[in-house]
Amino acid sequence: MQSTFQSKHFTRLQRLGDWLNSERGLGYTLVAPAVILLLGLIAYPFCLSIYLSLSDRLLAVASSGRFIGLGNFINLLDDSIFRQSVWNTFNYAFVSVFFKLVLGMLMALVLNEITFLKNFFRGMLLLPWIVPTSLSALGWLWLYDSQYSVFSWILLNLGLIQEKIIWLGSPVMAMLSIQLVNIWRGIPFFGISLLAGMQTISQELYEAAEIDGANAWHRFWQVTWPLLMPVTLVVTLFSLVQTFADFQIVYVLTRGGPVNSTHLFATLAHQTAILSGKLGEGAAISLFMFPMLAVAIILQLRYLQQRD
Amino acid sequence: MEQIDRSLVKRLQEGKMTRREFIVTAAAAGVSLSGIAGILASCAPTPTATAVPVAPKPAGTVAPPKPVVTDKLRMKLRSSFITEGNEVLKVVAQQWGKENGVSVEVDLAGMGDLQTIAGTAAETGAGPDIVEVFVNTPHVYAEKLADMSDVANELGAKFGGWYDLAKEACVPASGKWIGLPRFYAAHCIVYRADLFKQVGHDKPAETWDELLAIGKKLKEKKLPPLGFSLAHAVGDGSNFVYSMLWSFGGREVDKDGKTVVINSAETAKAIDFVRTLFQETMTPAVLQWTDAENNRAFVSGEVAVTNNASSIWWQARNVQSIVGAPKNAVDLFNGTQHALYPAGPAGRLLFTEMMSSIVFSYSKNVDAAKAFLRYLNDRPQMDPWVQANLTFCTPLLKGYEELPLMPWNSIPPLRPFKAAAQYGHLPGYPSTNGRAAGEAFNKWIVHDMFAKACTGTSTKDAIVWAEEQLKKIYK
Repeated sequence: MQSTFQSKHFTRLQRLGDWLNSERGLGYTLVAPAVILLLGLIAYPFCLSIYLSLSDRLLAVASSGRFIGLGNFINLLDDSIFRQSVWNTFNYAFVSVFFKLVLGMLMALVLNEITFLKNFFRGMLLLPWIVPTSLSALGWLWLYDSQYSVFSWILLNLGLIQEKIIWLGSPVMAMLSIQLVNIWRGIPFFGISLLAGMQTISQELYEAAEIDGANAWHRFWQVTWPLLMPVTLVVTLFSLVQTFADFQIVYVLTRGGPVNSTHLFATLAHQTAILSGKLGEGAAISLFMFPMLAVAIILQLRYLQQRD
Repeated sequence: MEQIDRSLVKRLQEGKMTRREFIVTAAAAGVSLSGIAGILASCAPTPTATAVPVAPKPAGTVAPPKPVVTDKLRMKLRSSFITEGNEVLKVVAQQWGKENGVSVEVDLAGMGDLQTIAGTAAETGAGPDIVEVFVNTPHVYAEKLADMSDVANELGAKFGGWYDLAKEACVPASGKWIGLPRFYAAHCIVYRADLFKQVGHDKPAETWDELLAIGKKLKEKKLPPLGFSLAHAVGDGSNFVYSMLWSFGGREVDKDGKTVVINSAETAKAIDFVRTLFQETMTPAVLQWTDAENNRAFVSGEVAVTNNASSIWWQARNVQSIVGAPKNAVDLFNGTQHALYPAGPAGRLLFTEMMSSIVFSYSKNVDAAKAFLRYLNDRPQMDPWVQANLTFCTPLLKGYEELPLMPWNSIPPLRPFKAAAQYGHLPGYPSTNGRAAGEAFNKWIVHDMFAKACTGTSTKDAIVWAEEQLKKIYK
């Protein structure tokens, strides 16, 4: 009896050993934890949100959850708050990313020239990107306070304005204010990535250009810009995806106000699903982002593959 | 104990100890809660506060059987702006745990966080046993909540009955209590009597028209303006816009909870009035004001009138009580007074900030949670908390109105807050469709209707926009 048990046990162990010895077996085993994580944390929620977006599911109502096809999406297109949020998101993302790229490029060019306290400056300039966004957004909330805004105080004391600026009170100012925070936060990411790209460009190219009589302006457009293009494209697309899905800055600073002029997809989805209890509609809002982000990601992957 | 008591009181009086530290230390030393509240009230840094009689223990209560708790009793409660109240609350909860040999976990959070916590708990069927939720949100989770009728009826019978407001929050069409009304933050108009005198007014405004006239005079004399939040401010902003809508006779929805009736001459009048009030008397900063910004604006002397609970008065009092406080802080506090909301053409109806305790039916501790809530809402525990909160937290039970210990009876500047709940209503009034009303509230439809109208949209377009949105919600 005992011996049969032992032999059974033994053969099992042996089989496991064989499996791990084969290259294929070991490969699958090693990749399994990552796959399980991806399935559990990304694939499952994603499929669930697709299911929710096609249903009339309400928060905390068991009898809800009828399949209604594209009903949520069609209703959304008819909703003025949603249409405004689509415009807000595009405005927020494209304006912010444009300025992050321009200013990040400038930052990279300057950092590339600096030799004095090089590492100190590089470290310091990364800070806005390292600090958790919700914390830095709280700091900005004080900077934009209607009474205690430091910006207003400085401008008043310089005599540049007569009255305090209401940073978050009008649709235009509020959008500009949150874009400024996003730009402030995102510049270091562009700056450091582009700087890394610049340092791979061979110095000889610059020397050759200089001999040919190119000034700094020409050297940038004829040498740096084209050679930096791959890095620039990847960083820009990556940032675009991130900015599209932004949540914290708006949630902390304006909660979508004034009059929904700063609602983005993510904040509107949170308001609709969690606060108003319409899970189905909320899921549909966040999935509206998906095609746009997918296009961005496909472009990015294609480009990377072509380079390989 | 006497000795500990006296040395502590001395340190508190000499300012060597904060009021929060005092509460925690005294409770740890075994001083009874009502004792603490009495000491706090008599040490209040305002000359107008009188000693508060300590609540008598109700006689003849039979000790209930000890509750059984699986793991521990977990609760997420609303934190009060008046921080002493929070300390009392924590001590009370732990005391119940000690008396019953049960472990109790208390977290205090703001309104927004509580809503997210409750939503997640309702959906996942896991989380805290008790959550305090805002206005009529219990209706959103109705299906997942334990029936609280027994506790609610008991408390109602014991303490003079509930205000209608409490029923709007917690009683759906079924007639069951799905939550236990916990407290409301009584609201008033906070105004600077010293500035009113400068423009020839000895009394606060009785009607909104009168307040408009006073505001115009303040502006003419270049004195600080009026300010009522027109932004997404959950408490003070909602208080202003809903109260204006109702006081002028406008309603979002009919009694049936289905027919949207926002498009009315009354709504138009309310909007036109608010626009005039905004353009002619207010600071433009109201377009971004959060619940905290109007407090700061008033305490820093930048506005002469706003709407608020007693927290502005409390802040002003704290600022001027600091040794060496500037004279203008003292003057500001002395000039700060409260008044009942002005009446509109349709009377005086107030949106009222209130919280209810809900117990999720997934909880394994429903009975223990009810036992805890009975204890929490009984006089010996309620009284010190109510006293420490200076009308910021007041039970929705009519029996508390006349008690001498109520801050509005014991502290003269707080008198106008008395029984404010009698004017109180919640979004969706007069319907009981709390779920749809909650959705409209969370989408800021009424807030934005007024804000749009004050920033360039015509009255008609603002109403049509709100009507279109409300029709989608109340279908």
